[in-house]
Amino acid sequence: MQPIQEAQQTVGNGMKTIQVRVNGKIAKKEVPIRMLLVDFIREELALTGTHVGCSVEGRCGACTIVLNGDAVKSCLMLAVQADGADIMTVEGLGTTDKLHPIQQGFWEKHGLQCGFCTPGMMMSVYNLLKTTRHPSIDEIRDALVGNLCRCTGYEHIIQAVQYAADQVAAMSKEERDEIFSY
Amino acid sequence: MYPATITDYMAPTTLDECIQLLEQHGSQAKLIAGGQSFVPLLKLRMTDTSIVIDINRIIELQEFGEKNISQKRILRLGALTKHKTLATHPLVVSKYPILSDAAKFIGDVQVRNRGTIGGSLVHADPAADLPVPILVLDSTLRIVSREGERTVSADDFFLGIMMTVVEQNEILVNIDIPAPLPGTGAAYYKCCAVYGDFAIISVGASVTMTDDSCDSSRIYVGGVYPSPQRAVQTEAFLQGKAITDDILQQAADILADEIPVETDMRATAEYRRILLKEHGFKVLSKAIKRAKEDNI
Repeated sequence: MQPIQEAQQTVGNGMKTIQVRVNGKIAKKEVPIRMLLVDFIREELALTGTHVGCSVEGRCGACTIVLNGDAVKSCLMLAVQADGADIMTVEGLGTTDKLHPIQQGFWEKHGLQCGFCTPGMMMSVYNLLKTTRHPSIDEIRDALVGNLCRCTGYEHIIQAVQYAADQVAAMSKEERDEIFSY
Repeated sequence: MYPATITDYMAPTTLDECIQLLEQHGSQAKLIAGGQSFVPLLKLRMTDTSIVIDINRIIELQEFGEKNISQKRILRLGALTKHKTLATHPLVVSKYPILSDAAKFIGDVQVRNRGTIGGSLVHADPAADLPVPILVLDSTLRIVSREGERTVSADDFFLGIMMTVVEQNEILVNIDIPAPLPGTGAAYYKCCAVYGDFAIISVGASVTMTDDSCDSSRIYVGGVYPSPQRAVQTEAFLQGKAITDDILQQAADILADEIPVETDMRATAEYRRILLKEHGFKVLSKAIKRAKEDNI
């Protein structure tokens, strides 16, 4: 993907214009400097799959997104810091017709109950499976330390990740590059 | 939770531009790097910052690698070096493993993807992970302002709880770590309530060995107030001794005795002493094992 331009415009009055690409679509908006990236994604872009859980210290991981290829917590960043960034949220993962292997894994292995943590979980799993072909259970647990789940007890989530990893491992390089393009 | 109003945000691309902005805006301005500690402070409104200077785009802060400086081999870490890099880069893992030991303990994947060594050191939380290895490795920190630059040894860098020698108009640019002497091994371990949490107690040690005897060591303990403490008596005890498990056990006893531990929300002083004894022994053993591997 081509890198996108930063907007780098100061509007004054505590506002700034930023330009980001989210799930492949470019968005240019005027935002308050104090606005958190997660609120920008939810309220300005109406992508409400990215959740707000703990809201303060960034412990719960429900707001995890992929920013320039790395999983990060969007509640621990100001939106203005993302100027010029390439972002993927859970909405960019797959469609109902064609689920991403990660989504398929959570579906097949019942990797969720209430589902609140799931979007963030899947972003962290994306970060793991992008670079790790056959993750061990320890590697999966380590990748999910930053994502809290209060329902499942994690066992089914781990099975979901293993299922997804097997699907990804069976793919050709071209197919893999396509579903891990961020 | 929302941060209070921030009136201006700048993202300079050069160090010159950055120190000029610091000079111009004084105490209203704060630097943001990874923001993994600073953004929560903004949200809790525990800082009255009205101007945020984002330093992520400054090239001079992004150096990473070994180089020779006045005929000494060093590892130079720009202030923006991410925890992820310290935890996983082959150069760090193979030659400076105490740094990757410590970086792996920080927060979680998302925090390590964004958090930086410069931010962590300047934030100076007494229970943070990176101050201990930086002290153990006898690092030098380069600090720059409009007036010029100065270098400070890690031993002089931390002043107290969340306080360092870095002044309002200054910025930490990089950290130089001397390459280990032959026969040197170093290790770090942290005890915490849940994985990725702040330290109840942490121990870091570097030991230089000739055959089975300890030439010198540097030992620091984190998770104590006001900043990591050096274990001078333990170092003196080990110097010149032939190392056996029995000697290391005695060293760990001295370590647990000499470090002033306190009771706080995380643990009691007594529990800290028990942990220190246990993990002091383990960390010293691991450092010595690495030193011996280096000798071969």
